[in-house]
Amino acid sequence: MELGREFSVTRRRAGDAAVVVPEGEIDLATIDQLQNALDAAAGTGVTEVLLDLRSVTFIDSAGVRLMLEAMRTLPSFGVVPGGPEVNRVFKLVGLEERVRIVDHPPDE
Amino acid sequence: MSGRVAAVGVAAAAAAATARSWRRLRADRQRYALIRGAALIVDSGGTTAEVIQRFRALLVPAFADECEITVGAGDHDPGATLAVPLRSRGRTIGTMALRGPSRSDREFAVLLGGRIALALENAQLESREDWLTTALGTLAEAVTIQDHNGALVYANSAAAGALGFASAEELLATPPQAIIDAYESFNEDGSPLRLEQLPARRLMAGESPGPLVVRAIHRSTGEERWRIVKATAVPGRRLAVNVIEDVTDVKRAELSQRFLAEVATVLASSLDYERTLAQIAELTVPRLADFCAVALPDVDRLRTVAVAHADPAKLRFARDYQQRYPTPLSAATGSARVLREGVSQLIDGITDELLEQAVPDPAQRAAVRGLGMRAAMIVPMLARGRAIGVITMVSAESGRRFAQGDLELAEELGRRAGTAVENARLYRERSHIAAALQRGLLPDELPDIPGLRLASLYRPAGEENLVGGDFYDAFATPTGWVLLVGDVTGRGADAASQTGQARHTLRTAGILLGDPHAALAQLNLALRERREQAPCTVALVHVSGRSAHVLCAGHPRPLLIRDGAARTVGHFGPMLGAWPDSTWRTDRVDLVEGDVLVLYTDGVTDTRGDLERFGDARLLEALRGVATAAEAVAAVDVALTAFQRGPQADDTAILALDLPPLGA
Repeated sequence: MELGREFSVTRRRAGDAAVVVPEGEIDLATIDQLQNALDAAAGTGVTEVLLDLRSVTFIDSAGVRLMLEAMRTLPSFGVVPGGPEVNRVFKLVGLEERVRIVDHPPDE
Repeated sequence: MSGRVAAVGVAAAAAAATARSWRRLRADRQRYALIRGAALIVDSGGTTAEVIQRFRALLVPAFADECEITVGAGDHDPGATLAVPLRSRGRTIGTMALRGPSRSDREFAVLLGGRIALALENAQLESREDWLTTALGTLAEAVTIQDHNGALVYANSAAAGALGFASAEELLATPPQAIIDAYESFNEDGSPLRLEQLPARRLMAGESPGPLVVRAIHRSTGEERWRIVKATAVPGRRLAVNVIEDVTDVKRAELSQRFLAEVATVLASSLDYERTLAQIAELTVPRLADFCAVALPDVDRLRTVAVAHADPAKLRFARDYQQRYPTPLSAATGSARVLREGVSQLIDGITDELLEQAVPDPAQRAAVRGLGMRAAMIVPMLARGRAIGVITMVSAESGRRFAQGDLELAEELGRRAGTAVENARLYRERSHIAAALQRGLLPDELPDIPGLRLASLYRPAGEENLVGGDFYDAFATPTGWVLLVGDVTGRGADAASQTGQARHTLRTAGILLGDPHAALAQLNLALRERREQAPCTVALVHVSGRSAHVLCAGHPRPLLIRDGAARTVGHFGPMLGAWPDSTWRTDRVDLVEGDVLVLYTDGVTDTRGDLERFGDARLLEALRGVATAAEAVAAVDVALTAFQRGPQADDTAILALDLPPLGA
């Protein structure tokens, strides 16, 4: 299998929260797509924006930067942690201790 | 007595016989005249009605009182004394009814009937030929028939029109050589067309020629036409039928497509736009023009950057002309105006009056005449709607005129060339900036540190990316040496300036404060002050004597290779520029002789291979057994090069140090 170049983002409403679900690799090539989805989710008047990283296979510094930006600007930004690769990066840069971790979205 | 009577009788009989003979002779002469007259009528041709009219005039009253000739089956005069069928080639085609001659004339009447039938049949054949000729005349395809000498025996009006004649008659009245000489004709591959290559000629020479594609330029009008010529032999006659199809529109469209495809290839081949423009000029000659010049504005004039001409002597002449008479940007007409207004110009039929108007200087005008210009197209090179240069295409020797389709093609060429030049320029400027910035991001050379050996590797991401990203540095502080690698997110000018800031803040703070932790804290605050989120990661080693202090700020931990085995050293810490209250843990490593310490950025582990990324495990494996800093750097480089698939997405930086064994 080719390295996952496929990337998609979906978003949904779960009560007062917007859940953004990226699938694939978050890097320079896909970051704009994810940024747009987060901006759109935040614009719907929700009180909470959740980024569900469970289907993310890779995240680089561009993704980290986006996370920092989201923590600073979005209402009650939280992250549903992903697999070992995402967790490794979170640990590496210190996000692990700083970002609000949500075990699962409210509608699950 | 009887003898005399007999003699008289004989004499009388002889006299009577003589009289009969005379009569018969007279009748024979008459019949001979009739037969001869009939033969003349047969040979003279004419329509059916004319044939009938002439035969009646011949036979009445010389042979009959009345004569009725009917074509086809029909009733004839019931009072006729003789009725004979008109037969030709075993077929009855009509009847002749006569009043006057006796039955004994029947044999002769049948003989006459045969002649009449033949004449009538010829008349009908001729009328069929007329009908066919009329049909051919209405065809859109040009049709000509030529004999074995090459002379035209027939041409329809389409053929006349295609060859530039007002009528078929005018065409047929023109000698074949004159028809040929009116055009300059070429084969599809551009070679001059030879007469013996024409299908009709080859047919007459006993060959079986296929269709021939011919490009013909009318010598006096300059009009260019593309034709397909097919020839077929007429069985039993030494004639060839030519069908000439005009495929100019189809051929032009095809050539335009092919031309633009080649243009696209050339434009994509290089970012050196002056070379590219020279190639573009070469491409247009001789297909689109005899002479092509590309000019770009340069201060107050148009500077010719590329010239192409089919004839090397003329090329020199054209170059000299461009140098001697550069076009000022303020010129009211011509290329300067095209550049100003961004609208193309087609000048058809360049006359002396036109030249006098456009080129007031007599010497210059004489030079222009030397170019033998007949028609010209000047098109702007457009980039984002703005003219950034002009392409001039001139028709001279070929004598061809430019059609609307040619101008459209030239305009398209101008658009594409304009975009390519603009992109190449932007790239060139960007490369300059990138190179300048890059020099600011990396140390000119690694310092000599007593008792330590350093090695580094920097693999910038693909050329299409701007600088930014990774950096490394090594410098002395009052308390020891600092070695570091770092990575800022993002690309472009912002990232580059941030990288510069990171490197210089760490260096200044490190040297002034002598404390690596304080340097990280300083950079953390400095980055927080930036308007944009500007996180940055750093791995830092402070070497003092034999002890190394390791700090990581959001960065992969350094690797220590001791006795051939690699392991990570240090602890993860928060990245810089994210949180104001961050602190970093300092881990101390006591170095021994032969130790190798490797600092690297995540460009190494994130490198893409066929199935996955390079990752930590492959890095540890690559470093297994290395004994020096140089070996470590080389080993990673080799492993990455072998592993990598596709373009490099991210910068990669490696900085290694080793503690040489004593005596090494």
